Amino acid sequence: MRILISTPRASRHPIPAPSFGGFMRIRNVSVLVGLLCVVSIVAACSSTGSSAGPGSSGSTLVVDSKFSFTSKDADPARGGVDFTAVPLFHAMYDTLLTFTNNDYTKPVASLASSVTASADDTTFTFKLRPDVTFSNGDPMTSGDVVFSFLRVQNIKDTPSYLMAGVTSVTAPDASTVVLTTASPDPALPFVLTNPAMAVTDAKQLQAHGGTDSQDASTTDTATGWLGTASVGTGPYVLKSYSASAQVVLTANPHYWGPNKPNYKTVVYSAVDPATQALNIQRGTDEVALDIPTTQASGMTSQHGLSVQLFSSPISFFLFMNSNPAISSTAANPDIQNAVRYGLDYTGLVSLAGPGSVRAAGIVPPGFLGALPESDAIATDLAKAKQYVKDSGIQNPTIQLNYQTGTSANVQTLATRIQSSLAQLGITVTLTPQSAIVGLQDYRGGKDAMGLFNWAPDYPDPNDYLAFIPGGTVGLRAGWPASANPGLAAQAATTASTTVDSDRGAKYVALQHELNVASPIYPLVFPGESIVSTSNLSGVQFSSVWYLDFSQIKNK
Amino acid sequence: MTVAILSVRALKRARTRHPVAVFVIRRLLALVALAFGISLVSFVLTQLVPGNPAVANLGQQASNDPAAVQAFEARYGLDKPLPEQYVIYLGHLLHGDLGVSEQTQRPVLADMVSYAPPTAELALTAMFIAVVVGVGLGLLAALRHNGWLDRIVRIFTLVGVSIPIFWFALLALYICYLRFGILPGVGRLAPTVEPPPTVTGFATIDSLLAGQWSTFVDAVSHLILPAVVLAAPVTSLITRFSRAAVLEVLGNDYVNAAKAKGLPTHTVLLRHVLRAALSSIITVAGLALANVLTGTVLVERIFSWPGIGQYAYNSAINLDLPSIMGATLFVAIVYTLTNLVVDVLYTVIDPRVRLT
Repeated sequence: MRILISTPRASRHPIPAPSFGGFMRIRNVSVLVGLLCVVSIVAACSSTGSSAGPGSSGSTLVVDSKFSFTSKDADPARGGVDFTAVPLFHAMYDTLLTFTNNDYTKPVASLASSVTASADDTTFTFKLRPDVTFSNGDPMTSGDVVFSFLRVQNIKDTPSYLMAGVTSVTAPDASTVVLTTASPDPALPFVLTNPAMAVTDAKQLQAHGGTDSQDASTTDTATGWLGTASVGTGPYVLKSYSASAQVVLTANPHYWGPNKPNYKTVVYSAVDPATQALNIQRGTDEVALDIPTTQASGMTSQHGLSVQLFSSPISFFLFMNSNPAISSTAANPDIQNAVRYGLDYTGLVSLAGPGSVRAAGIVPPGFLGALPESDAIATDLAKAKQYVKDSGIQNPTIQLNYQTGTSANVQTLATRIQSSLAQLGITVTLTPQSAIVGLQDYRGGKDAMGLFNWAPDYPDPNDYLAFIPGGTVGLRAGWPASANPGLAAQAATTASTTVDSDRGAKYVALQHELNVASPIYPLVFPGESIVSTSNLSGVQFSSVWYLDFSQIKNK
Repeated sequence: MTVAILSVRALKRARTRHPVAVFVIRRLLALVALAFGISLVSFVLTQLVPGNPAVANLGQQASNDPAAVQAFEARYGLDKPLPEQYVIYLGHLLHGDLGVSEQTQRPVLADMVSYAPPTAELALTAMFIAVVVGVGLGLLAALRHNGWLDRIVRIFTLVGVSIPIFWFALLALYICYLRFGILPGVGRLAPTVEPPPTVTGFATIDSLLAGQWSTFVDAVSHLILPAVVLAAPVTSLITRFSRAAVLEVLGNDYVNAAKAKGLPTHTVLLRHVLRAALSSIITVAGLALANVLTGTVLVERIFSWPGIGQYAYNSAINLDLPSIMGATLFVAIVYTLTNLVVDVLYTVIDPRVRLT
């Protein structure tokens, strides 16, 4: 733009004298502005004066979460494994099997009244309950189950890997579903508790673009619609969602199950963790899921609040890349052993905050096959220093990559790793990266040394076969099956064991082997918190669905 | 040839008779070229980020599944060469199609339509506060030049432009919400309040249109705190510029002449001093809009305000390319249009200004 001004400097020349009417207009505007300000102040005062807290009436429960809701998070087949969205799926949808009383070692019946497995754990037959209805009142049939499972499989999105080993899903009659797998899969009943394996109303979904056909990855268009309505059998139904703001659920009038919803409305609100503490202390919201544990532990003495500190099932681990092409130092077996025995595990647990526990093995506490804390590798500096000496590498230097912005204080953990390895003469260069940048190198197996985490997809040790040589994480650490064929074979035998008690024992043995041979070192299950107002009961953390809204009620 | 000469003459005639209209049309046409340039730059920049959208969006296990990665890339056209991706994007853009968001699975344009009004409501309120308070304080400080009021204003404006906005937001929430409870916390409405039917997307206006007075009260009370936080640095900026502009005008002969003629003080101030200073104040206010728009990312995050700022933040951390492009284009167009309005306003407040 060219602005042509008729005089060189505006300020040197007077402006024509103003008219009185012009000033009156300005004065009128000023009065209007003043009135608006008064209205605003009155509005503010009257509003806050009446905010007694939504839960005080008992009709609404407000839960604060740091989640960012998207339409994908309303579709179990696409977002069912998103850890921040699972409370919503669990509230709106049911699965064939579930867990009770936080016992994750044995799935129990939910939509299925019974399940029988063939002797080789390749055929699973589910009998469905006859009294289950969807939220619109329609009865649930085996056709709905088949449709839901095949949709998960064929839509080829994030949860599709849950159906990886399933070769067929059939419905011999209206109340029976049969799943067959290519190889023995004793973990399948555990997999079916995942919220992604929710049973959806096939008729409604098909009417809105849903399909279970083999080309569902390109033809299914129901996800957007699922952001406006839910089609499940759970205690709550979706009323509305505002992406990045809140999801509102209302009680399902056709709910079939024993745990009737205690609230007419549940608001799952997206709130920054820093603000969650304010909301819960003010009493406007009832449950806060993401207050840092150090802050939450300081709230235990506050009147009217209930604080739960517990260890997360998300495991943090360190790995050294065994691929010499990535780093000859990291791939050196002696250096790997030096790191194994040189890490300050106790210090790392302490830094991870209240509620944190040492990761004795890679399987979280409470899961089948978990190691007791006493079985963890202990720090032995003398042994570690000897390994460094034996390596023959002068001034070993390694770059440590990690993601910033993850739940635990990763930066602090990385700094402690750096300082404890410095005592051995190993120089660690810290390289923090954003998630979108760091993940690519990590998943591509290009990091020499990495500090990352693993969230359970389902509460079964088979999910941790990712950490064996040739497994998903094993390959990221440059550790193919050929690097340790004995361990790979032991893992394969363990994975196909069918009797749970045998499986548990074999996983314990496998983790003992991994602890001394693997270039992946389990570090810590960091602490997490749930802070709630003390007038509530039933606020309990779950490793599978995080929080069950239907269990929460006023005391 | 004759037609061309006639067109040139017609253009000259139109420029003489309707200079502002011609100026606006030219700038709008330039906006199209600008949008093209911005789309190209943002597309290239998003490609330069050393990340992979499939890895960022698919989980631990699915990102290792070639079928899932292939399906994801095919769904969003990421399996095509980059130039082809851009040409396809541009073709769709010409038809008003900004693509489909990888996060929301909805058309980006539909997302913009739903996210823009909350941001507009917040940003306009913040700008209103900033201009009214900033110009008022600047005027007062200039009139009390080097007095105690001037010194206080200077200190506060220095603090205002220096203070980190996220820290100020938390402090404001602590004092006004937790400690004294004079204002509500985060969100656009209390969780128990039924949102009004969407007409404009502004919670305040829609609640009035629906006749929901209590909802309006709730919406206004939720708007105050984030708007004040967002306005704080901009208010300081406008105050400092207003003060400087008024000080420059106050010493002029025509102001002394107006006083000597016996005009009332408020007339001298409003019609002679402030009006002359308004050009530079409007320039700063136009530029300040950029501060407000960038500030929305943090403020919307802390106050759980479902606007473009949050949308852009979530798009960036998920490497949602269509949404990043959409949000970039949106902000650029808003900023350019604001500058256009500012330029046109020059002609309104100062008749000596000519636009060509």
